Amino acid sequence: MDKRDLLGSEIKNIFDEDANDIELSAKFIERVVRSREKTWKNKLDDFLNKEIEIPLAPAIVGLAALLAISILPKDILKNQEIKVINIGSSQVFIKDYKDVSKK
Amino acid sequence: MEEKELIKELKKGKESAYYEIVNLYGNKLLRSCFLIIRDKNEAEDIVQETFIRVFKYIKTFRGDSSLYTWVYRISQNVAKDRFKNKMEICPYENEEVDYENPEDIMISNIYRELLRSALDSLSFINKQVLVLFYFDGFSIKEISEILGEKDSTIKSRLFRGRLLLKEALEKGGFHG
Repeated sequence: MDKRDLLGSEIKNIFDEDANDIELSAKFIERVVRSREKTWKNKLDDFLNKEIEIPLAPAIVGLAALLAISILPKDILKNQEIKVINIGSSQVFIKDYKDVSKK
Repeated sequence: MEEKELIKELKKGKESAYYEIVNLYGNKLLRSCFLIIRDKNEAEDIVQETFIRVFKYIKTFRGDSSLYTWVYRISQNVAKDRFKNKMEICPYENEEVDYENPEDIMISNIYRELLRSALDSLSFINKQVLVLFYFDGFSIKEISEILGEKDSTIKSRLFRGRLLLKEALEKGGFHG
């Protein structure tokens, strides 16, 4: 069958003309590729490449709280028991008991 | 990327290979499907379904035919499944041409419009063969591989399609 006879050439011209502006969009291509069945490796890659958004305000508050806990002395918020011992005209204040480790 | 390399990468499930094959054949498939069914949305659905099947069954591809032919075979099967009910042969409608002022109209334009109308009215199977042969440039042998039919069947469908077009043109006053 001759592709180049008059009828064949005209058919091709019509097809070319009609299909000229038919094109897949980038969005469509993305959708097609995403629609595939994923392997475990693909799923893991997707997970590792995922962007994680952290809200700034809670993150700063959280970080500050963490710093406060680690830097400030643990007993700062404790009600300290103060004992007052009167020795004559002097007073001895005992705020806390500390254990001293033996070497 | 060469075809062998592309197949290898597809079988490994590499994302870049998926993009490559869609970019390589996507538009060609879309245009062929559009020419056969004349509906862009339907054509897009067929292309999407085709690639889903390609990705799913690529591991079973043995390389007996080219990847291009294999992808086309899948697309034509998808198209056939979707249009089973439209596969009966439709009689073509006569194009109404304004003969009152024929000198105002270019003869070639009438010829082309008449031909376009006749092409639109062809049945799915006749149009499918014409699109694969004239638009995609496949040989009779390749079309027979794509459609899973004998060479003689393809030749006869092509002959039948051309005959219907010629008849439509003759009815419109064009001979030879």
